[in-house]
Amino acid sequence: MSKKKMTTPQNGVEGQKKQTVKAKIVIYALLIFYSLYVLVPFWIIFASGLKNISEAAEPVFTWWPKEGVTWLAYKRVFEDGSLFLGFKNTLSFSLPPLFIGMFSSAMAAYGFSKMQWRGRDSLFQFLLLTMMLPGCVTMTASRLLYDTIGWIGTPYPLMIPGMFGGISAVFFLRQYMKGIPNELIEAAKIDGMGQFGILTTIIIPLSAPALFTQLILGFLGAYNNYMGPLLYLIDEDMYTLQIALRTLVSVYRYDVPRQMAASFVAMMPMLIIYFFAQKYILKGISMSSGLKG
Amino acid sequence: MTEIDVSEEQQGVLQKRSKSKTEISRKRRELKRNVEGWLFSCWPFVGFMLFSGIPFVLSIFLSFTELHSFDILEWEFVGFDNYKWVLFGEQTEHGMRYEFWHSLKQTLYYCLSIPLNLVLSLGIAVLLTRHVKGTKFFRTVLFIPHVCSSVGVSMMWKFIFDPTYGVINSLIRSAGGQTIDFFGSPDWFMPIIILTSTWSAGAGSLLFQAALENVNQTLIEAAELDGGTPTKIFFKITLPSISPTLFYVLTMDIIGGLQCMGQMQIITNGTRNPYNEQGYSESLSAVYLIYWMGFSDPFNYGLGLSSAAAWVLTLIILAFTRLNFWLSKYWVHDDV
Repeated sequence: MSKKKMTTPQNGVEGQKKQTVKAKIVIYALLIFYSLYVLVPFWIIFASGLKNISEAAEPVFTWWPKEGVTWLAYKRVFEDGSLFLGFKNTLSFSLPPLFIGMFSSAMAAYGFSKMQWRGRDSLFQFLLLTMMLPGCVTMTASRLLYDTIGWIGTPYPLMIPGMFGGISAVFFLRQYMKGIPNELIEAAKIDGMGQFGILTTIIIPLSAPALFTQLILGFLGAYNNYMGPLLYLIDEDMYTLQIALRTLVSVYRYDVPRQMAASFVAMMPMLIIYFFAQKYILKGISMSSGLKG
Repeated sequence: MTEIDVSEEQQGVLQKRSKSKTEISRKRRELKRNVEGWLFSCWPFVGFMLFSGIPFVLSIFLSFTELHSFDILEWEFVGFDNYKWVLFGEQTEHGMRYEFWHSLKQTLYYCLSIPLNLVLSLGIAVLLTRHVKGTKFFRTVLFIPHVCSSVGVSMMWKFIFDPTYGVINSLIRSAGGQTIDFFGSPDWFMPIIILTSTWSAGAGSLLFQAALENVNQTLIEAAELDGGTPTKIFFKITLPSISPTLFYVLTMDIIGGLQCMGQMQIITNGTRNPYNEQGYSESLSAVYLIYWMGFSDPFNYGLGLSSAAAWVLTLIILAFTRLNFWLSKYWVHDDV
């Protein structure tokens, strides 16, 4: 066997080529299969949203509305207004802490990456350690804390903690800021600029891509946050999009197309952002892990 | 002479003065630097202390008390009673009930999804790093689950597995089978939750893709020349090379998996259905039980039990993490 291979190298090369074609077919087959697995559920909820109520509740599932396409379910979702209010709440509870928190994170990251001070490394180590703390241990007690200081019934529990900056964001930005040349900072110091001025006029503009990445990741987290609003929000007019979606689904239990249309509509904004900012999201996630990406 | 003396004296004084002046200004600058550093970098720490540190200490206190509302003044000290309930169960008319241990069992059951998804993610990462045409497109599609909310996704699965109008049951019936109430049956609930978790395996493969791209290609080429089979190369070279990433993903998955709750809470509509024959809830994971005792039914359980269970779970999570770190000595290679 081996002799044959040795004597006919051309055959061997051809055999290899054939194998790679075969391998390619297998790779494509598996990738297409998994992509369909991801995409078909979307089609199922989208198409179900196009059906009328009686057809959607029929025991035989149809992949395309047989009784005609109707956008009434989507219309009902938009006319109801609870999803829109939820979306507005999500934006107004998440954007201010995002921007303020990003500034705090950038400030902290600058301190950790470019300033020399006593306790810097131990403080950073401590912060990294806190990321390992399981969230479940503070769940009940933080609700009690917020209740005691009168924050229940307000969106503060969802907003204020984030304003102090996120540890993973600090970690990510620190890594990025380390790459900014020290000469720039030294030159600014000679010109008599203070640290705060250096932060706002040099560091933050230079870190714009990293900040943008973290903003998008932060918005992704806030947009899809379910546990926070579930634990701390009470009033219906303060429900965030995810809580509004869940409420809508249980209120209109017999209006299947409406449920499906609502689920589809609620997922859309993030999907659109994802398709446009994909590069940042993928890079941000593979770098936030603390591994070289 | 005298004039010179004076001037010398003066010079000495001046020198001393300027020396102490530079000393002071140096110290001052150092102090300023330290203060500035802390002023810049302390905010995440302050935030952590206020919104996690205080609840952290509060939960230790709570775990020794009985409290049935969110009014802190109504607390009552009960010693280790809560821990006794969590660890050794409760005597009822029908015998002993071990709610916490059952919820932990369900949690560990759910954690079977971790190795399953790890293998799938790794497989997808291998496929996506073969650089066939269209890899970018597949990467985009397979990552979609990561940006979808757990509520939307859970609604989707609930609909797909619905007993009356769901796709799966429609297909089962057309093949002549019996309708199965997947999320309403104690036998099916967890298996289906685990099955649906594989939907996002492509998103989990992102870190593996990055790691696979960084594997030393010369090592692989050398092994190929030595006649190594692809399988052998994968297990002897590729896998050890990416073992730090595997370890990181595994650690995060274990910490996250042991705290699963959201999906169960959404799919059961905030109830504890389905129950099994012994009357235990099949959907109640450990964190869901902690939530249930503190938020859904504080009257019958209370914040004390909730906090005690949270502490026992936290210690279990730490133990698993420690074990994982200890085991990593045997299979994680930092030097490849």
